[in-house]
Amino acid sequence: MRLKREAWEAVKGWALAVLVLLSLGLSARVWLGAGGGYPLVPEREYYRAASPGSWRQELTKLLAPSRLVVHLGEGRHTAFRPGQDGYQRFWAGLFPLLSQGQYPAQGWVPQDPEAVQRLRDGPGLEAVFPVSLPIEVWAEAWGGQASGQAGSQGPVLVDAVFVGLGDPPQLLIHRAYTQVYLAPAAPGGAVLEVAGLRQLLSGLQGSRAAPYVELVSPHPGVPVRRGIYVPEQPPRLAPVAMGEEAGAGSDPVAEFFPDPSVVREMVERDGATIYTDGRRSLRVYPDGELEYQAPVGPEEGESLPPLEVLRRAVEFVALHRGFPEDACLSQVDFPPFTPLSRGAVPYRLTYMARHLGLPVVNEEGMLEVSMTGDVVSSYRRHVRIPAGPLGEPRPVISARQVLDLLNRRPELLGGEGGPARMVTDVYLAYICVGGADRAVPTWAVELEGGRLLFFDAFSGEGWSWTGGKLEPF
Amino acid sequence: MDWGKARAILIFAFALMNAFLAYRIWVEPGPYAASASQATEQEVRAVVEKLAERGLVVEARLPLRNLPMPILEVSPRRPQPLAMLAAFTAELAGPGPLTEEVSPGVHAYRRGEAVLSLVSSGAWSFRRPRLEPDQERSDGIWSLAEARRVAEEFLKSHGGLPADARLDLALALPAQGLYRIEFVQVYQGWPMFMGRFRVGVGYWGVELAEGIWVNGQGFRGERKPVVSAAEALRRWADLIPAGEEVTVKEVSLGYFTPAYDSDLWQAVPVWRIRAVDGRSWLLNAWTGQLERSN
Repeated sequence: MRLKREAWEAVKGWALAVLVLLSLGLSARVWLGAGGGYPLVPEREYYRAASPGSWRQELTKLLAPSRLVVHLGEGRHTAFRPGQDGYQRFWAGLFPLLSQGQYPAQGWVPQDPEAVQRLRDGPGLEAVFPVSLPIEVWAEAWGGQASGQAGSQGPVLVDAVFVGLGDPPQLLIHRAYTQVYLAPAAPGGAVLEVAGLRQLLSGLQGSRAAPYVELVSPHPGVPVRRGIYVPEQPPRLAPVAMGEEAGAGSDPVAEFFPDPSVVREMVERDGATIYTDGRRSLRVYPDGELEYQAPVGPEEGESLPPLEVLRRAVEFVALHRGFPEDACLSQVDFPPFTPLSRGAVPYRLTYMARHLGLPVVNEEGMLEVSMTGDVVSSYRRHVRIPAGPLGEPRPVISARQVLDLLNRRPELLGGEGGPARMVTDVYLAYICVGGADRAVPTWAVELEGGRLLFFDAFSGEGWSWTGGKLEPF
Repeated sequence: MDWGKARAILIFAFALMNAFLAYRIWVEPGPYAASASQATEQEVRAVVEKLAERGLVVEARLPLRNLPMPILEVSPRRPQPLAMLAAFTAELAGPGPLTEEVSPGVHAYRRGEAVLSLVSSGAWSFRRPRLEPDQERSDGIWSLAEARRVAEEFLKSHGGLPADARLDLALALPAQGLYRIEFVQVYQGWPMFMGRFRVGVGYWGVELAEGIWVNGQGFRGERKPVVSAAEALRRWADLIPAGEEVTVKEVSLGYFTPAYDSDLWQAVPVWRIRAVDGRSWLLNAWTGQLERSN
């Protein structure tokens, strides 16, 4: 009986201790919650930096050449695109040379295109990049030395470099959509370190690398820039199915909003789900496409140098589902180059996918980041990844046949009777037709002035790329 | 001392106190619950004085304490196009054909320059050119009170003025030759700023009307503390360009959500800061961010 009473008192003692602790906890919750205590979400972009240095690696991949044309000498040429054997070796050989270069914003001297073409008959390496950027931006992206300010005519836009491996070696840069190659007026005296590249080149001699030839137009009405190289034998390609990216079901609220507890959610009648915290909004479509907006007021934001813009965009995408493998930066809409001043200055960066090293052009876009000042003001993502070939690969029509098609359609080059626009580039690319579920191989033809045409690589059927849309012709 | 009895009494007392605390925290926080946001009179006075130095005059009385507030779910009321057309028959009468324009999300009827349009979110609007004397009525509208009466009658006869409507604004705009009369929707005592009618009454009749009304579906989720009115004013002041002078007439709490093409919307608590000239700013009462300004 006494034992039973002692046990009961022990239970009461423990119960009292628990109740006292509980009351302390509840009281603490009441008192510590005083004064609101709810953190205000900062107005500016909630920005978390990726690990130091990783952005540069990602940016280098995004800016890597679309193709590397290797001039073997004696009029022989070959080329590599991303993913092909040889591409990584030559790019790894070229990159250190670029990173050691000096790139003044002015003082580049136009070269005679015929003289440059003669250089191509000798040993050399040419890198064609997926996007046209000011030389000082390339300099910083490569880790080279930029100097000076752009002149009154604006920055020098570059989308290719040529390294002549003769004696002495030369570095030329190519100005977008023209046939002008530029060399610095004062190379700085340093001799380019090209021994490694020469060794790579000699390793190709006698190899079975696919031969490339210069595309020469047989039609007077279809002028073609010197220096465009295409496969001598048409490659074998197949249409490819495009599927949704994996990870589309991840939690978008936690990804895009710094404080998920204040986010509300609405489902629109078209099936899209909208998340918003009042300032930021995120719309997720049933097919996985997403649009993020974070409007920036006119007084907000700081102007950033172009490379910093590229860096912020890379870090933002890396933190929000990342870049698909083989993505590249395909377009940058820079603001007019006026003296920088405080206030929101908008940029728009567009990224594109690649398949088998060939660009995949999609009307619906893949990745688009808009930056206003130092804030990502919008992010649009609609990634489709190759999901397998549709049929067996078969030979495509030749680039020469594409010129024949153009010759039959002079209006595509600027109209009958008027001066025809010059063809400034020809390369293989995929385009998504009939929605984003299927991509077909095409020949892309770039014209002077920026016009872009596509020809189905099997049938020759054509499309014009106008205002971000494919219009059949 | 009988420790056993003492323990029993203490157990009972603590259990009672814990029950009371739990009730106050989770079931019904009282006006003095520490989770309410609050500002002292001194803080409010300091904010008002600081704003006055910038030319931002606050004539409104600011509440010192506010309860935590949850989300309010609402669903849109979508008027039927034909029913609205029938209600606006007289306004859309006249020479010329009556055309119907249907595009994704918008249904519009037009005769001449008079347009009635309905959006898939439930919003509707009517506009017509400036009325001439005797075009619709023989006596002009020369006072705010008369404009208000005209606006009310107009809404009652064109779709109805719901019982949960409350007059929100009556403003004379002589420079525009217009009176602006607005009604806001109220749900369980809370103004829902997304539910509103706005009528532009000219001197000879109603020249524009627009509205959107919702159905309150109840409060949901956790009650979260709201920022104090003083803090809301501080955040609002950051939105006003330097040098601009504004006089604030009213600072009030309510709910707001933009309209979506969805069947269920989530409205958040907002502070509405309204100026004497009729402009208003809606700031999210949880985060202080601007939701809408007009």
